[in-house]
Amino acid sequence: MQQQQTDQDLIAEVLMGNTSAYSELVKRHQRFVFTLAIRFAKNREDAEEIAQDCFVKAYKALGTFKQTSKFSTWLYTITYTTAMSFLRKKRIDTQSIHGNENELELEGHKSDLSDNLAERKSTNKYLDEAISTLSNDDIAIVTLFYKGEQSLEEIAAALNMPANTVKVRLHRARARLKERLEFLLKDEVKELLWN
Amino acid sequence: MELKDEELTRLLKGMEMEEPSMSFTRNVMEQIKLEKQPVALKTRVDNRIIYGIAAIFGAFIAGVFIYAIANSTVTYELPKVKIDLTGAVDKTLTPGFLTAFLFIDVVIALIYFDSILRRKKGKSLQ
Repeated sequence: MQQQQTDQDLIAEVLMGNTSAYSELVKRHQRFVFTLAIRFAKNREDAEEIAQDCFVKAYKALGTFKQTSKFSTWLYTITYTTAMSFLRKKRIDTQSIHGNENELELEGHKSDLSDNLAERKSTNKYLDEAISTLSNDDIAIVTLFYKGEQSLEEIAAALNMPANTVKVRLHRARARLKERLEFLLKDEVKELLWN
Repeated sequence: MELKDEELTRLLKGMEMEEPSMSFTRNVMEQIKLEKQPVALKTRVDNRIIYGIAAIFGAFIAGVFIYAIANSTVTYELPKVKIDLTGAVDKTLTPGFLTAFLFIDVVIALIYFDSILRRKKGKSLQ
């Protein structure tokens, strides 16, 4: 049985000229990078662009990766900074047409919610909704901690903030999520009683 | 409706990951084909840099030596030859100059020492 290569093995192969080894790294980390990107961007098209950009940047800078941390931690740092730059740029680009689009988006959102009531009843939908109310930093902290298997120290390094700050923010984000989920789930119970 | 801490943790740990489009990896690899092949930092920081630092260090010492010689007051008397370097040394090697000289030497030595440690660490990782 062939033993699975570690991220470090694959990086070494890429640096020795075997570019195709990078596709294995992409396959391994694409789901998490994309999940993180979609949480920031709130739509699939932008998230896909951010995630692709992130992997290309990582490839270009692969030679500077010191391997003192996990590849995933380094990659998530790139994802975070790429997403923030993308959102900042997008905010500047769309500032002039912001008002009208917002109205349309809200209308669409409303009808979408009523049309897909059944779909909304899944807990994951509520969780996504609750997470989307958090700040970008808190979204990153919660996602990296619970889904990215990153320690508080690794998250601190990825987001360039002290580990204690990450701990406090995670605690507060959890409290906010709990409050929001309780509110959303209460509504769900009401809806079930009315139907 | 109250949510327990354990329930929240379970929900967060169980949240679903999003899946990018089927062509995601292919798109990334196509973009990568247009990029230059990455080079390991270890190969980039090669011995030439170390030799460069050593050369600068050597040149600096030689420069100070030449400067001291050039600024020395040499008196010559016939038939008796008398060379007096005491004043030159006192003038050139002032305490400030010596401190600066030693400081630069220490910085260069630290850079050199750091590069040695990095090389050792790199070898132990392999």
